Amino acid sequence: MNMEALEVVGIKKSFGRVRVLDDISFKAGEGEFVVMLGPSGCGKTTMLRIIAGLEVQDEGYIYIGGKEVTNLNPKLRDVAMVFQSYALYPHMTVYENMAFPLKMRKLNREEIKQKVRQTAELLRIDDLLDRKPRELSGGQRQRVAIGRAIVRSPKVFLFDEPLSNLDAQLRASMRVELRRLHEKIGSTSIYVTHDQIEAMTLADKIILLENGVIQQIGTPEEIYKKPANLFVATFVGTPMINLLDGTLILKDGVPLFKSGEFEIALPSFKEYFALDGKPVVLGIRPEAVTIGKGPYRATVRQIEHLGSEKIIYLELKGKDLVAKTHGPAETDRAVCFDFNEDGLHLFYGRERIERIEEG
Amino acid sequence: MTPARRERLFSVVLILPAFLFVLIFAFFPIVHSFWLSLHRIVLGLPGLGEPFVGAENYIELLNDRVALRAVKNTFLFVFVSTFFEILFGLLIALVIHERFKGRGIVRASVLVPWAVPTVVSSQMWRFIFNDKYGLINFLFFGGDVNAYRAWLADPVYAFVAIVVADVWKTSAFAALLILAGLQAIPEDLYEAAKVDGAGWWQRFFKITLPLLRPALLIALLFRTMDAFRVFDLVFVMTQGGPADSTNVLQFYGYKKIFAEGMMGYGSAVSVLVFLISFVVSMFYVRMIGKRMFR
Amino acid sequence: MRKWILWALVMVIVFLSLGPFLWFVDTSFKTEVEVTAIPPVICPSGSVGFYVSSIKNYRLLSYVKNSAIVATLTTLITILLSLFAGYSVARLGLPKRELFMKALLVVSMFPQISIAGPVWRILYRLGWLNTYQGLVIPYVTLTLPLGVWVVASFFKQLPEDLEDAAIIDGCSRLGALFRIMVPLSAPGVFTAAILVFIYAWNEFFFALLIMTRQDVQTLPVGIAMFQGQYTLPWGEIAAASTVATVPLVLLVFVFQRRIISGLSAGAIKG
Repeated sequence: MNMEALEVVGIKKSFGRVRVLDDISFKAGEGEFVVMLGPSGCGKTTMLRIIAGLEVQDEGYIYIGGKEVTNLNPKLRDVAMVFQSYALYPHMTVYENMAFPLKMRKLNREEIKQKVRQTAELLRIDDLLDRKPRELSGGQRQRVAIGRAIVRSPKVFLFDEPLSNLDAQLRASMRVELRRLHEKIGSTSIYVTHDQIEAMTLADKIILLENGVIQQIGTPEEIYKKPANLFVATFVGTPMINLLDGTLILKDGVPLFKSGEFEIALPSFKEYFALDGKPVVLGIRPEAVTIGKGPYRATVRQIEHLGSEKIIYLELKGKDLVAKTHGPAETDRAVCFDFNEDGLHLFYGRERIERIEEG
Repeated sequence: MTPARRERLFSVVLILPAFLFVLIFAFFPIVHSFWLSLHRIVLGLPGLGEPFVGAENYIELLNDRVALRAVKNTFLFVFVSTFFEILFGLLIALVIHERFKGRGIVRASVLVPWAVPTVVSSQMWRFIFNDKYGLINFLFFGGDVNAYRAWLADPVYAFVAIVVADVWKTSAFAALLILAGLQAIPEDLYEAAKVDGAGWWQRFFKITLPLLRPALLIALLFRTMDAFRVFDLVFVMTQGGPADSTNVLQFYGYKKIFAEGMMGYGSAVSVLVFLISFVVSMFYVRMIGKRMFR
Repeated sequence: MRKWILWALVMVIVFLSLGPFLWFVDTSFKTEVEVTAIPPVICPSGSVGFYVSSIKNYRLLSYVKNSAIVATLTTLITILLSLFAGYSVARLGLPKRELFMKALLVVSMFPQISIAGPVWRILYRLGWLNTYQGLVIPYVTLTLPLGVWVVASFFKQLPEDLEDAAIIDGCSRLGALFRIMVPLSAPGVFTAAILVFIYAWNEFFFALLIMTRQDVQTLPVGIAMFQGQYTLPWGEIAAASTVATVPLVLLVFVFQRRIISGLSAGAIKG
């Protein structure tokens, strides 16, 4: 007997000959906010729809609250979903929209009234209850859609890119609000998005998907600091991580990364001696490049100001390197810089080699 | 049962009532007609039984001058009436596609003939073509009553009258289908052509007509298939006469089966009608292609 | 200049569309003498004698009643079945749905005579000749293609998310159909209903075969069969024709937009 709020075991799904989900398994604990992150077409929405029961998997099992729901109707799964398009019923008022799921569960009128009021107040839409969806702004529709989901306190909330139809400013504030709401209600949520910022700010746990395969499961910090492979490293983090192709060389027992004329001594990676002379990829987070002083020199090609920070495009012995920093820099001047070891990641093949002190 | 199968089963259950109606009262009768056509069945003479006669009815049909006349008349009617309906339909569509005040009322007016029951329009045209006090006679000959003609008693004019009545009633339908096609042509194309210096006729022949082809074909298909079943007009206006000059297949089949009670022979006629219209409709559907079913 | 041509064309089209029928309406308000007058009388005396006579001597009201019953029943049944079938075709992964739609298209196209004999025999065996159900059955069969095509094309335009949302909110499939899909495509459903009603109200061929007893005949059959003792009772025919047509003309003027979109949806979008 499993008491996780949600458990997904070995889900496989193909559309025709295209395999969209390959052996997906994960758990979501009670009250956990899990974000499924990935580029479009990675299968995340399909996974969400399978959890909801709107789509049927080819293989695998779904458990909600410890109960197997694999072949149950959506109705019997006790999940609620917020759609990308909001999917508000256009012919019903806000009140009727929110009352609909309760009505379908045959609650009595008084109960419905009370719950809808409560939820509307929580979401600050209590003055919109008599309006029709077409009379609402994007942000208001979003709130109603969320309200319709939380009003019946389901075991699991499913969010399908709920913020992607909002403009950037509104999206940022809704993000904050969603997190606040989650902390207040404390219900288990599965949230699908292709936006890494949403994932990083909202998630307790991120599941990173590509081509229907889970690449990594971890907290936002883990995903960022210990990306399991090249895909994770490049997908998360802006600007994108710098990748240098090169070779690992052992020099007096010390691992050295060499790419053309550029050489850098590396911290101790696990089993690095086995990689002697092998082609590897060095990933350098832009914020791990510290400008000002250090043993390396490069030419500044371009600067983008982001307000408090700058993105600096460097040319380092014929290779491009992007840095994110507060330090001083001027275009077409040479600068000294160094690397922060925490932001260096070594990849062999696709996989990342862990550092020794990470344990 | 898995949810996927449950869903599929449900979709089949939902469509079942409609499917059964169509199966029992449309497809079965078509097949059954063929079976009936291989027998000699005379309504009102049940004592004869329903003996199997093989292709006898069909052989008789091939030598039946009236039937062949009906085939000829039907094709002629289909060809002539469809031609004028598409022509007038296009003209009407072009006019009601323009923007002008009161367009809604004009569109509704154009629809009126379409909504008039065929029997009513048949009686109406029969009255207008009346030999003693019809409007047509008055228009042509004024008060000169002696010159008045019995149009519907003349083989050629009777046929013309039926075509006129049909064109009056159904051009509007063709116009609507063509109008839908016109509305699908993006306005920019015309603006671009105007900028390029194309006049109205050039725009019409270089843009409108080519892009209207699918809509025209569909209108042609619907009108052709509908013209094949012309019946009400003939029944009310001419009863197929004079001298079978307006006898058409659907009317002939009706007369054989229900007026003369020749169920077997009449069924051979209806099989013939079905085959002809099936071949013609397949030809059109091929031409229009798959876009209709998307 | 162009504007004048357009206006002239509009006038000609409207005149030719309405003229003949208005002439018939005009005739219905004449007296016996006016009907046969040469030159024709344009302004009638406004007599309603032909209306009274067509009710008294030609059972006009009985025809109206029969037509109303048959057309209403046909519309209700066809629309209900079209909702089910349209939903199945548009939204549920009905296997072979393209084949089904093609079959419907074929049904809507072939001449009625190719099914008339067997349909008559079936109804004869059931003892349903000269009954309402006997006429409603072929009407439903023949209007289903139109109904399903129009309804399905409207259903296809609705976002699928709405239905998914309803199902997650606890609706059954049928619940989603009637609580969400039908209210939202009400204009389309209504359009289909008008088209079906007009078809059933106007149909003549099957009505002629199936309704041979005068007391169950519908308006078209009645109007086609009007017979006077010596000459055709043109005044009464015109009056009955006006009664048969005016409701439809009203429908057309009120719902012009919907009818146009419905007809082209049924024919083009599929």
